[in-house]
Amino acid sequence: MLKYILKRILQMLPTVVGVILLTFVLFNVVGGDLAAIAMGKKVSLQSMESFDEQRGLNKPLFFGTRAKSRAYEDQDFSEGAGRWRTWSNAVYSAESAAVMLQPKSAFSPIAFKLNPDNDFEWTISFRGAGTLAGRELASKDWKTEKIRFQGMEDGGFSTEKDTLEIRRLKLRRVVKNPFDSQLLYYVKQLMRGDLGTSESLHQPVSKLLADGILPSLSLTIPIFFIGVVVSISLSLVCAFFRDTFIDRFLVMFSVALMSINYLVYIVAGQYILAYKHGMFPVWGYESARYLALPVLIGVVSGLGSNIRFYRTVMLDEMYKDYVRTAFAKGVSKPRVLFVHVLKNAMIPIITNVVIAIPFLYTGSLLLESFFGIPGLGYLGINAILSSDIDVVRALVLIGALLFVVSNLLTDICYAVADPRVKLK
Amino acid sequence: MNMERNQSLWGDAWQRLKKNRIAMACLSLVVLFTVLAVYGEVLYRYHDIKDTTPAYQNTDLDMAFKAPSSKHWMGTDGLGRDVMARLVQGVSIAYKVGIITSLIAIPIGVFFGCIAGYFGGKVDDFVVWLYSTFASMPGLLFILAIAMVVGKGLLGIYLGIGLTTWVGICRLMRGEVIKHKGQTYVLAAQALGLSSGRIIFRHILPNVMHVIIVTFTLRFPAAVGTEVFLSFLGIGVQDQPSWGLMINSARMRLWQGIWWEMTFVTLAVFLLVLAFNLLGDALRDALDPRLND
Amino acid sequence: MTTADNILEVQNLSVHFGHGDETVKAVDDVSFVVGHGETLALVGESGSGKSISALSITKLTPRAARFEGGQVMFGGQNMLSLSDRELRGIRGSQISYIFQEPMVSFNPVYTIGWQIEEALKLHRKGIDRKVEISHLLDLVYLPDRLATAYPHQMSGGQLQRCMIAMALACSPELLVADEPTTALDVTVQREILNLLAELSKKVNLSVLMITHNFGIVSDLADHVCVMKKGKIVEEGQTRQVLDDPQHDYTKQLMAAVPRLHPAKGGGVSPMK
Repeated sequence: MLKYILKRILQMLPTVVGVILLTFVLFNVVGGDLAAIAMGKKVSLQSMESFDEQRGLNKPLFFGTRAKSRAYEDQDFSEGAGRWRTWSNAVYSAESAAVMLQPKSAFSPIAFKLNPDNDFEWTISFRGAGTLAGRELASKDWKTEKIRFQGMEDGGFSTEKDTLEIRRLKLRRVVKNPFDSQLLYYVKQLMRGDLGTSESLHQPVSKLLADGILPSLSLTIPIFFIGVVVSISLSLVCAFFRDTFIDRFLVMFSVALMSINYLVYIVAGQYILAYKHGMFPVWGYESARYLALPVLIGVVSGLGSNIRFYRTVMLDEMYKDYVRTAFAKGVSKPRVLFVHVLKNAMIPIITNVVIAIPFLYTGSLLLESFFGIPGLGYLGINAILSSDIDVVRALVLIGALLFVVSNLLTDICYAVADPRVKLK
Repeated sequence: MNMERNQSLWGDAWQRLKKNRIAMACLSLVVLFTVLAVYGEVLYRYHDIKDTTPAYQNTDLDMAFKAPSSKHWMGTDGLGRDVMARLVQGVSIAYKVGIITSLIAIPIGVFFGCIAGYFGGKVDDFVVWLYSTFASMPGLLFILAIAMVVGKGLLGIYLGIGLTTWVGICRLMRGEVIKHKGQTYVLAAQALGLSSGRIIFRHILPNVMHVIIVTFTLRFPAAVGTEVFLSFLGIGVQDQPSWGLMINSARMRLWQGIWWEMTFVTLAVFLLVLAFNLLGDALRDALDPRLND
Repeated sequence: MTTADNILEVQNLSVHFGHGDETVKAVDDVSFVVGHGETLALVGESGSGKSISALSITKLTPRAARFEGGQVMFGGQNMLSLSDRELRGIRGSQISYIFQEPMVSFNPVYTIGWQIEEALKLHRKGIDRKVEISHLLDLVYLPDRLATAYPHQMSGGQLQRCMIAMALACSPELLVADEPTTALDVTVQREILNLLAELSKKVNLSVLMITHNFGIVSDLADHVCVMKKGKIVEEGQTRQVLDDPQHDYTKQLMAAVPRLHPAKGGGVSPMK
């Protein structure tokens, strides 16, 4: 048994790696400019740089020797002058898609003081003559050059007698260790158990999670258990009365339940039961009474699909040969159902039940925000709405890891419930 | 020979389906919704090109919150817009979401499912790893996160739903292809020296088409439900009359006794989802080869 | 019509499936009798209604089946008019079944011993069940230790022996064997048939044997009924039917038998 568990844990590892990679790809690669998503475009470049710095976002994604710096962001001169418009000694020409620095001018396009400990590199395509970061540039024809300088040096332009035309300009930070990437930073951060900091709430994410887990569980655990018991009982009723009016009614009933949108349950429940009839408190999280309505809504909204699932499982079993053997022995129908069928059906039932465990933790996103329960679902919705990257990422990541662990639990339950598993 | 078997399978299925009165009722409902969706889309495009304000966007504050009447069958909303016109427009958004997310999810799922099932070995290991990773992600939160990084609007919804729901199809297809791989017609095709791609997509795929059809019918309502949810949260559709947005605005007014917008929108969502769910079930029963035995 | 000689009399039994145009007459006005201590073989190809006839005896038929007439007389009562409760008392204790696929006919999550014990628990009070189980396994030449084994740990032949042990657990009067060897390897088939023949003699058991194999018929059966499309097309003493088949269908079936023991029972010789 122990060997079996160890084997399963080993098989689980690639999925854990996959989950970490996927969250990384989603947020760091697909997400693009997280600082812009989190803070909007209206904040200063320097505060975006420090946002990046704090989250390791100023490093190369996977591997590399150069990283972007917000001190000078790449821009395409063929699309316009961009921020060069504001510098009076630089003239933009749309015709040649370049800017021309006037003679006897000096200025720096670097938006804020660079980190003095780092090396930086300009890549410039130019024509004419001038100085950039202390290096002389001179060429009659278009030419591309790379100029490396230290963060404490002045990285700006100056011209003397001639003009300097610039077609392309890029600033890159030189990365000393090419493996020092965003991915590595992310993994290291996770290893430390650091889930980041909430931008909007100014608190460590781990503290927010710890605060939210209890309210969430107080809502989801009752939903979970009541839901499982009710839907398995009803599916047994279906199996017992299969092909009769009762079964058909329950099937139609569960499809109808499934087809009602989740929002409708919440809105209608809150309006009709709590507001109109005053059977429950409308909003808040003060005593168990406040949980009754959200729990009721949670159970009812999940009932449809659960009854259908369990009914299919039961009926699949009912048509198997061993059931006929049991009947041929003279076993009564309730006994066939509860002793023979139910134990066989336990395997898919366990899967369905254990797989639902991660959802206990995320809570019910909408239920919590509608009823003002300060759990993780509430936190999650607010984080999504305020683009609080670190919170969303932590919630997704932990949800996924819990799922992986639940899968492991399912397999262990299998081994206990099904004598056939041990041989494999 | 495969073709014949296929045709008779579809023919038989249609015969069975025709006898199922509930399925036929659902089918007519689906046809009705489809017509409305096409009408709504044409209307939208027409006004988009002409750069005029369509009727469903016409605001008239004097007419705000009017109960259903002969002029406005389903009443008006807070800006005096006709609820019924907006409802019809909502059908086309729902259909767009249902169809486009399917166009993202089904090809991905079918492709990975087929190659995993057919080639087995390392390819299979990779695909299984890929979909177990995606399957581990907490559903709705993951969709919300994708929509968040992609940005508000329909694109975020399409990608969010599309990129998360291919897993189920992939699993199903993998299982089906594994079943078919050992069958004689595949062995015969292999013996003829046909390329793997041809065997998978020209020989096996037509035989598992029914799985795809049923999956489409059943995932369509799920996608619509998710869209309603996302738009409700303000992450999805922004300026079009989506059902989620309508529910959101109607929710506030419900407390003041303005029941019509809420009632009609929820009814529309319910009917669309119910029709697809029941039709999907009936299709599955009609096409399920196990029942043909 | 019940005579003391017969343990089971099936009279004009009709079992239908479906409605309207799609009605399938799985069993159509079928009559046969099984005498005390005798073996009757119901022979026919798959879909001929022989299995449904056998299941009808204790109403084990699928839910969709409708009884459209006739009666099944056993122990002086019509089985078709008994309540579910009364039928349960007869199933497993007076009439037992052996099914075709031993690999799937046992509940996979319980041990063999548990499943045999369940039959004992239901129909026989006041016995030492442990002793009885080991006795039963003994009867079918299986070691005691297999009582704690799960079905997946055993071979098809072993499982069919267990099935026989379970069927005989409550000393039934009638054993219905529905294609008991079809799913087994050829070599194992012989062992199971020999065991069945031996046991039915030992406890003077009446057997209703469902099969499509005339080889089995010639070895085990006293009487034969040949079924085709829900009807009995030929019946008689085994010897007589084998030696001189009247109906073309019987001849075809006999011709289709792979000859296991060509020397034995010359009647099975194939048609030229």
